[in-house]
Amino acid sequence: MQALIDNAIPRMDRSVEHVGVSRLRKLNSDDLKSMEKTLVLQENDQPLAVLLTYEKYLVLQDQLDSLMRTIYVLSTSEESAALRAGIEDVNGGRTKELHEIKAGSNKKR
Amino acid sequence: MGGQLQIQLTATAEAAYLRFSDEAENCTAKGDECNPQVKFFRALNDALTKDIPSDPFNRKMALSGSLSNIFRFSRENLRICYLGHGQQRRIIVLYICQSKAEESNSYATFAYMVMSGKFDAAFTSLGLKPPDRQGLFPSPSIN
Repeated sequence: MQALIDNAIPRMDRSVEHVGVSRLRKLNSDDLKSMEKTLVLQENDQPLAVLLTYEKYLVLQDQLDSLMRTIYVLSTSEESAALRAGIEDVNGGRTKELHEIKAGSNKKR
Repeated sequence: MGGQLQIQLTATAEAAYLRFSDEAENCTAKGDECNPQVKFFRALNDALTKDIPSDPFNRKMALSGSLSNIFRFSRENLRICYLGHGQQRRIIVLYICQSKAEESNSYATFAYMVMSGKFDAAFTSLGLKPPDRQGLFPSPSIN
């Protein structure tokens, strides 16, 4: 049902604006600082480039890094097994304060 | 943000911490202060008591999606993964491990993983051709 609705109603992204390349020449630093939308620069209806704020780019970069990190952890056998064991420990209440562990370790010596 | 950060270790992380502690202690007892295991354990303690507490909930260390409350600290060959509770000012270290390879950045790591053939089956199932192993960078292309 959802797929039917998704197919039937085109989604419009309000944060994206398609503009001609001539718009680039009109942009000054104030425009760039206050730019809320992501611009798709096109010529004769053909998209050529995307213009977005530096902050938005950094957010995208961080999201990609985060995704890469997650894929890496989940696909590395040692880390994914350790992650699963760690989460099971938390669910089973098997946690201890760091200072207690350090104190116990010092006492042993 | 006020309040001291409470740091807890799971049994898995505790076992690793004590193992690294013993290894470092054995080297120190033999007078081998420059041993990599001693350096590693020092770095581990610094990470747990200084580096992570200075900015524990930095999104740049977070995993994504449903794992976004899990953070992964990485420096040289040290990896620490922890669960963060920002409001409670508490972290629970899930695991600590010593990696063989140093991670330059996540793109390079991911490229290495793709080139290792780890995702070949996934590429095939998506109708994609696995990357050319002769090339420098992985660039899967559509069949």
